[in-house]
Amino acid sequence: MILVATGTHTQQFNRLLEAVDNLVGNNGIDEKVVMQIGYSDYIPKNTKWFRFTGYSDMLKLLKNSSIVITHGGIGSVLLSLRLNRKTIVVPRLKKFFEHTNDHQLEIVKELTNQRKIIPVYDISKLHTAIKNAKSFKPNKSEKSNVILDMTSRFLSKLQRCL
Amino acid sequence: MILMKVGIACSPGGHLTEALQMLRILNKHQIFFYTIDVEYTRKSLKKFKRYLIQNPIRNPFKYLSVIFSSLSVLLKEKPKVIISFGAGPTVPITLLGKLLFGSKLIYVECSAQVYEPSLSGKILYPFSDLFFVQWKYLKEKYGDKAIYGGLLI
Repeated sequence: MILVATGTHTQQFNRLLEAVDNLVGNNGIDEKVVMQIGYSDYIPKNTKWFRFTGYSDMLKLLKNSSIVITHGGIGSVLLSLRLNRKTIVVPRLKKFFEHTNDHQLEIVKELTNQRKIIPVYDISKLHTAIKNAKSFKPNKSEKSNVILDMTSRFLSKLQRCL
Repeated sequence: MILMKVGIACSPGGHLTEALQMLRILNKHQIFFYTIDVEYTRKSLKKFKRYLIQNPIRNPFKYLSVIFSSLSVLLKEKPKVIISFGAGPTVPITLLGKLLFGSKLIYVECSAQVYEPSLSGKILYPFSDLFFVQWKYLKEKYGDKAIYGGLLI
């Protein structure tokens, strides 16, 4: 299954949805596709879709996907990487009214440099990215427990003083 | 041991997704969430005590309602600790909690901030008891108190 995620950001991301929908319609994608369309007004004709779901349902969908095509929101991108999914990232761009700024380019640039994701800046290159995803061997994401450990110790110490 | 009240303040989307990772170490405490009311927060937080507020949408007057709701939650919950994951709507409850109610302040800079500090981070940094950044580039931008913690997700 291929999951397309546009996140919870309050602007549309029709550009991505339309591109995937057309690829499915032209038999350019042979896998089952499910699209999380968020606030977009483009309604897919060739794939299953829904607007939003909760965190645990999103995890289930990600776990069932072989490839994830996502906007550059850190929740979608990093969860996909944490679950070792092949991750294609299409950053939302201000010029297409997909976001209020271009900050998604930062995470896409950084994770591309680390060879963890396949970036797509030009939507016409999406089909190539999907074909390349099958053979893409990303560098694994190192999860860090520093924030959890230090917070846990801080809270325990505080609790002992009560 | 007395259960400690911990408030988790976050914007929807990725900020909430990061906040949910923190649950792994919070099971010995009484927690509540303070976030904006959207489908993702409603569906993700069904099993938790939560305060879902109307989106202030960058309107300075709607921010007054955020301040009022923050004070009302603080008066009711009196958290010992508030963990903020940004963005803007979490600033009032976090700052008022610290300044008026003596809550400890833990801040986690969103991983979307790769090269530049966020506005909520800059506001809350001076008041934080623990301040985490997830990318090493930000440590020097904030200062000595900032702890580089790597990626939470």
